[in-house]
Amino acid sequence: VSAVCLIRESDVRWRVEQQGDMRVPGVVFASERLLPGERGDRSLEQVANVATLPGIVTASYAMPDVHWGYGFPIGGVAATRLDAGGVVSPGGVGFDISCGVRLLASSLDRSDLADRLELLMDALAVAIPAGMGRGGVWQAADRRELTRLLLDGAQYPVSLGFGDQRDLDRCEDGGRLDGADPDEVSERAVKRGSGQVGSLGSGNHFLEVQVVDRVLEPVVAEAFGLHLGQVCVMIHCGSRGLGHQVCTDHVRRMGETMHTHGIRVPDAQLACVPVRSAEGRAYLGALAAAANFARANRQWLTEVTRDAFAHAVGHRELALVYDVSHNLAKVETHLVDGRPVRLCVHRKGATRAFAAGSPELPDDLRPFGQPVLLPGSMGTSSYVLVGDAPGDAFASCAHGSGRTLSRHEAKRRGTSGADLRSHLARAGIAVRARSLRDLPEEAPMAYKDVEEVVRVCELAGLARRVVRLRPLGVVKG
Amino acid sequence: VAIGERPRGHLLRAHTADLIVEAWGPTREACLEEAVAGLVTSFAQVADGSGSSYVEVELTGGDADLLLAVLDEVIYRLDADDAIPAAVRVRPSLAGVTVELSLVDRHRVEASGAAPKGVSHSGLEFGERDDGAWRCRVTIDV
Repeated sequence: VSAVCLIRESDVRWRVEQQGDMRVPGVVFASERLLPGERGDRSLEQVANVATLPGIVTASYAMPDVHWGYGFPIGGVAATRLDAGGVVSPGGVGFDISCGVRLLASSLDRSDLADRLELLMDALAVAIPAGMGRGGVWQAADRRELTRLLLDGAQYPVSLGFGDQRDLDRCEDGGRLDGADPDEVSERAVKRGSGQVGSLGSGNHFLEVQVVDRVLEPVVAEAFGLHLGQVCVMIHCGSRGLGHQVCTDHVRRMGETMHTHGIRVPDAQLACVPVRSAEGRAYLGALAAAANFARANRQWLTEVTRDAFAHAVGHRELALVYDVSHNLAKVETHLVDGRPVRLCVHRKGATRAFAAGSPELPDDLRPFGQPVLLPGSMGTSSYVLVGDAPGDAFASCAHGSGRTLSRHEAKRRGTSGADLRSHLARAGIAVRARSLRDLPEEAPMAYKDVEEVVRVCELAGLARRVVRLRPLGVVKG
Repeated sequence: VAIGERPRGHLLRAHTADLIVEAWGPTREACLEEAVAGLVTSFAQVADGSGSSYVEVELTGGDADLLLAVLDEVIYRLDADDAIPAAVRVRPSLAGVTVELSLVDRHRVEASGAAPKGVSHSGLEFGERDDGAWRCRVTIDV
C-alpha cells in the first residue's frame, strides 16, 4: 500500500481509507500538530500495510506518538481474530519484547531529598548497569536458574527475596506472563541475555528520579499511591539481547514458512503465521519467556534502586505504582461488533490501558482503572494516566512522546553532549551518562511535545491524565 | 570522487527511531565487509589494529540471508562476548561465506551511539547492479 488517503473524523481522529489489500481501515489518533508529516516519515503507509494482515479486525490503529518503524509503525496497535485464522507477527511486537516502564513511589517529598540528590544520582549511576554489551546485577548459576526466570518472570527474583508481594500485585500479569516455553528460546538468545539480567541497555532506555509536580485527578492519584511533591523513580527497559534474539529467530522462521499458510505480506518484517499454528504457538511461548525476562530485569533494577536510596537517603521504601509493557502481543477478549471475541492484540510502542472494572486489574486498582505510564523525552515531563471507559483501540494508549528527528539528525542539529548536560543541570536535572558522545541522540528537540500527546490521548478517550512528573535526575541507558 | 562513486564504502542514513546502513563494493564479500564496518561505526569508535581476539564463522544461504546473518553476528558478539569487530574479512565459501572477525573488548572502546538490537527485514536490499558493483541497504533496530 503506497498512496494513503487520510480523512479527518474529528479534531483528534483520522481514518486511513481502506483500499487495495487492506482488510480494515486505519485509524490515527492525532491532532494536526502530531500527524506524521516530517519528510521521510512513512508511518501512515505502515498503518495501511498492517491493515492487510490476515484476521485483523476493526482497524489498524496508530497512537498519538506514532512514528516510522519497520513493518509496524512505532505506536501501532492491531488485533487479529483467533477463530478466523488471525495471525501473530513478531514484527508487531518489535525486537525489544515486553520493553516497558515501571514507576516506583518513594515516601520522600522533594524537600526531604534536599541536597542529597547528587549523592543519590551518583549511587544510582554506579549501581545501575547501563550501555552496550554484557553486565547485569544478577547472574544465573546455570541454565536451570535462567529457565526458572523465563518461566516465572518477576516472581522469580521476589521468591529469592529481591522484592515483595506488592511488586507482583502491581505488575502487569502479576509479574509472570503465562505460557512461557523456554525450549523455544534459542541457545543464541540465552547467550545474549544471560549476562544482562538487571541492566538498562542503551538508546532511549533510562532510570529517572522524578517529582510529582501536578495532580490532575486527586482521587485516582491517591489510589495509585501518588501525591503532589512526592519523589518517584521511573525505569524504562526491556528484555535485552534475549528478547531481541527471540524476535530475530522467529521473524526468520515465519518468513520461511508463512507461504505454507497461504500468507503474503507487503513488508518482509510483517512476516506472520496463524496464532493457532505450530510456529505461532512456538513464537508465543518464546515471547512469554522473553516478557518474563523483561519483568525480572525491571524487578532486579528496582532492588538495586532501593539499595541506592538506602545508601543516599537512609531507607529503601519504594512502592511499585505499576509496571506495564509497551511492546507485546497478548491474547485478550474485546468486543467486536458488540460481541466478546478472543483476539491476539499487538501493541508495538503502545501501552495497554484497561478501564475501571477490568477483571485483569488487582482489587485495589479495579475501581479506578489501569495506570498508564507515559514517559516524556529526557529532560521533559512524564505522565501517569488511567485507562478510560469505554476506551478505544482495544484498550490502548500512547507509550511516550514519539520521535520526530532521527538520532543522526538530533546529533547534527543539537548541541554537544557536554553542553546538553550543562543545559539540563541549569534546569535542575542531574544527568549521569556513560558516554557524552551519544547523549544528544535523546535531546528533547528530537521528540514530539509530550503535553500535546497526552492532551490528544485524553480527547480521543484513550486515557485520562492523573499526575505529571518532572525529572530531577537521569541515568541514561 | 563523490562518495557514491567510490569503489567501496558505507554510509549511515537517518531513520526516525532506528538506523539505515548502506554499503557498496566491487564484490559481494566486499559489500558485506563494508556493511559490517557501517554497523560498527554507528555505535562504537574502534581504532584500527586494536583487535585482540579472533573468530571465524561460516554463514550459508542466499545473498539476503548472508547480509542478515553477518550483521546478526556482530550484534551477537557484542551481547554474548562484550566484543566489537575491529576488522572484518569475508571470503566466499562453497555454500556461502566465511567471515573472519578481529575483535576488541568493548570496555576498550568508546560508545558513539545506541547499541543495535536486531536487523530488520523491512526494505532490505542486497544485490549486484548493472555496473557490476554490489550494494546493500538495511534497517537496524537500536
